[in-house]
Amino acid sequence: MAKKVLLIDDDPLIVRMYERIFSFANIDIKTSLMPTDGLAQASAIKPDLILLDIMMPDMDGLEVLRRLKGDDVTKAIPVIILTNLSDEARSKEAIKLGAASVMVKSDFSPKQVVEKVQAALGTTK
Amino acid sequence: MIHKDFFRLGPAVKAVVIFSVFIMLALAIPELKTPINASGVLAAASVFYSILLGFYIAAAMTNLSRLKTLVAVETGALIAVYNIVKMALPERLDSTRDAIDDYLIKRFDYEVHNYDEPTTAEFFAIFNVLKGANPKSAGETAALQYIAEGEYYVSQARRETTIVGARIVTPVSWFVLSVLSLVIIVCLFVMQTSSLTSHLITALLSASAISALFILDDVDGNRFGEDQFAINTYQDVFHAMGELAYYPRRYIEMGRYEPQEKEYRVGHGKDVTIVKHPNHRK
Repeated sequence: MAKKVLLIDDDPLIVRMYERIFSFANIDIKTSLMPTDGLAQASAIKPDLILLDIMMPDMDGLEVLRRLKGDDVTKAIPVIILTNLSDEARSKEAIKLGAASVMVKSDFSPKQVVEKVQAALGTTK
Repeated sequence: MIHKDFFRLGPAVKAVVIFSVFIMLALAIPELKTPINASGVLAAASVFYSILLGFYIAAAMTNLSRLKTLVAVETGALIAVYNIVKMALPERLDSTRDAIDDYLIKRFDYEVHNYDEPTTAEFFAIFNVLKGANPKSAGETAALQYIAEGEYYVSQARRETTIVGARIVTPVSWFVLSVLSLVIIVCLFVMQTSSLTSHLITALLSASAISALFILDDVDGNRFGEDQFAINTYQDVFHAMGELAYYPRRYIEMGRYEPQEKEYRVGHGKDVTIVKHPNHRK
């Protein structure tokens, strides 16, 4: 059975691209453009991994992470931060809050992001 | 009023026309006696003029360079998408070629800085090739991933063209630059003597002050080197797909571009016709 990944990012172009790239890699990708919707989806579908943006409207990605880790249903789900910000303080805070790792979008190609996710899911070919 | 055809002339021709006007004026206007210190005013106006003009030309040139890069990113990606589809998904080649062709033809209905929004539907239609794709090998997966990445990066480039392609010289700045150039020209005419050398220098400096404004307008309006980056670069995509070159009718009617191909397409919107060039050089 394909592993489930939830992507929470407010950029529709990013979401559209990763929907396609992950589906080609045989990963069941669910997406959310809104942090609140993302939290609800995380509880409902219990994905194997969450990819989370930091800069989002309404709710900061770190706040989303805090809520995910504070909820018994979602706290065990590994979260990878996928962000445009290369702010070291924020990265450290994300790790402190329980993120598995932080990836700066400009440092990784989408293919590398998929490989990293596959490695985290233990599905590397 | 300056005739609209004047703006379509090349920079060198414009400079010659402007110089001709000023040399006639310099010869016609006699030595002027004024109570003002023309050399002092000229020095002050020149300093402000050069600072302001230099700032705007540098800023506009930076934007134009970025715009050229973005056009290259887009056209390069479109050629790459076409070639990948040709190799990895040959059954979808015709629809992809038609989609890219439709997109570029629609893109030419607009200028290089404002085509993003009106061509969104045509742009994303190119990537319908990814819909329902089910890669059967690692090679096909990599090809499809590349196309999906291309869609994202070109989308970003298209968004950015709107920002870097916009004019940065405001009407107020144009007013200030025009006033300063006028002050410079008046001072030069006030300071000229009756000698031919003085007339020549006055005309040359005055023409330079005005020509610099036209150069700024060309750079700011993305017309500087437009032939290459905003027209020819896109033709490379048509050629790569084995299609005839396409030029918007208004470019040809306005004299903005003269096609060199033996055969090419001309049109606006859906109205596209094939033209055979009567005096082709290629």
